[in-house]
Amino acid sequence: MNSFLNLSVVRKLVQLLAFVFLVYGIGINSYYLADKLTAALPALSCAYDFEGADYCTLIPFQHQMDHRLGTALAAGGNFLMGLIPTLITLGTFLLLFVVINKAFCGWICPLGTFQELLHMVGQKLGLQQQHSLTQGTVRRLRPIKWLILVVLVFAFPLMTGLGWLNHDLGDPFCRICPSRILTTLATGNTTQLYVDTASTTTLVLSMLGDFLFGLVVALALTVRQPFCRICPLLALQATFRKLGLLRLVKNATPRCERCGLCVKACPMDIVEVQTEMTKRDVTFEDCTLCGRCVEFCPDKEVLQLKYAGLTLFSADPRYFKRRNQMQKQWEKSTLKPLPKPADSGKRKKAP
Amino acid sequence: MDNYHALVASRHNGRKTEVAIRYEYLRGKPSGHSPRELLAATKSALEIVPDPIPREHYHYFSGQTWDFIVRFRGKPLPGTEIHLKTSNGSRLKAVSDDEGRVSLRLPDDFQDAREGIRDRRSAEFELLVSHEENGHEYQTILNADYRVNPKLWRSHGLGIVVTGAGLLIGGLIGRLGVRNNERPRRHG
Repeated sequence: MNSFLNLSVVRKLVQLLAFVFLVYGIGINSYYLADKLTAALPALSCAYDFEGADYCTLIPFQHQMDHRLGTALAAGGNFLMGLIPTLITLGTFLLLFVVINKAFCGWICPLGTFQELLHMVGQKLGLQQQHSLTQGTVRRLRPIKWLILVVLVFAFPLMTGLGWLNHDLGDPFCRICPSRILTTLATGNTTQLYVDTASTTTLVLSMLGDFLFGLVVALALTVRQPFCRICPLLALQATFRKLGLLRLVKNATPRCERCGLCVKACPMDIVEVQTEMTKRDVTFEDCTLCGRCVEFCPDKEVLQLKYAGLTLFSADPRYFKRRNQMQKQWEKSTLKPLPKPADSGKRKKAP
Repeated sequence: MDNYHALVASRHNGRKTEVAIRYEYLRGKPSGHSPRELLAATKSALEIVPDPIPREHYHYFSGQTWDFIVRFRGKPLPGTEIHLKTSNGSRLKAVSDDEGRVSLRLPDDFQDAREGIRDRRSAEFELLVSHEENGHEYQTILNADYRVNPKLWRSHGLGIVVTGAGLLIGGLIGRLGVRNNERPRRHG
């Protein structure tokens, strides 16, 4: 292995290319939505970005709940006709999703990349890092993404289409999504950073969106992937993760119970990767298939990334040793020395 | 069909051809065609082509600057006067450049539009261009609607303040989290 080349470096390169492509890739198609690549991307690439190559599947879902299904139901029309656009979007989403499964989060999503880059900036600035969230916090956060998916992506837009809610709730998730503000600002467009005083609903949603964006930026400097933990797209992907060809696979050994390096490496703090001792497929609902757990697993072939049954990347003691050294070197080089934690001698440092 | 459509009305009167063009976005089954194809297609001898047309689910808004290209028989027509007229009473004049392009700022001419209050009014604007070739006169009008600019009820200043509050709270939560992580724990 080249001293600088490892899976994380390859992933960062892919992420940066995907970011440039999705946020600035207008050159490959055009300004018009009809020309975008899929219009159902399983990653938070925003349609409000006028220069992007593609946009996220959550936008058409909300739009179709409001203007197609809800409207058809309200008018007493044909339910199936109202549902067909949603089924087409879901079908397109699934066609893409099957190819790389939840790796859309860990390898493609512009907001995920932005948060990782911010975390690197925080680390290099010498800000004290919160290496892992407590399991209690992780457990409390997990349902939020499902709640956002059900309520903001499907229920509110549907109720708007039915005429039960005001039209300002037709696309509530987009109005609070940090990716909308990030990707537009990234192209020099400041129009999405606003407080909208048109109505109480727009006021609340726009303030929530701005606040969440600020919160995510600040948290990402010290916490790994803060928004990903509540992202409704992660929940949507979790629903269909058994269909994806790329999987995280585990061949558990008794050593797993005592080790736990995989959980420390996991940016989503998924403790089940360590504790699961029977299931082979450990692509859990929060997994983004980033592969860090495989990199930091010290036991041969215990964790693997497999594509349609074929091993793409496998845990290996020699790789682990080199990777761990690289990580230590990377963490040492900061602009400001990291303050020593009070109990640093008692705790294992996360990779 | 879900896409832009061009409505073209023409009248030939001896030595004069008059054309009116309007682009309309209609919802329905996606047409599968890019609006670029529609704009590129020659719809009349003398044309005013939006470049670009407001994209799907977007609109012309007062105070914004938009580009248009004047074409004659599919080729750019430089040095041509274009007259803008709105139903709110504004009048403007501009001349196309070497590439037939003209940039126009839609007037901020909605009476009584107030800051902080959503205003759903729309009005019509009309672009008129004339050209004479071999003694035949061509006159084309492009019309479209434009709306009150939402900048009136969207405050960027407040947006920055609220984002700043998010940054501050996020910083504090991050700091608290680090402190909690440092405390020795009995469980987990």
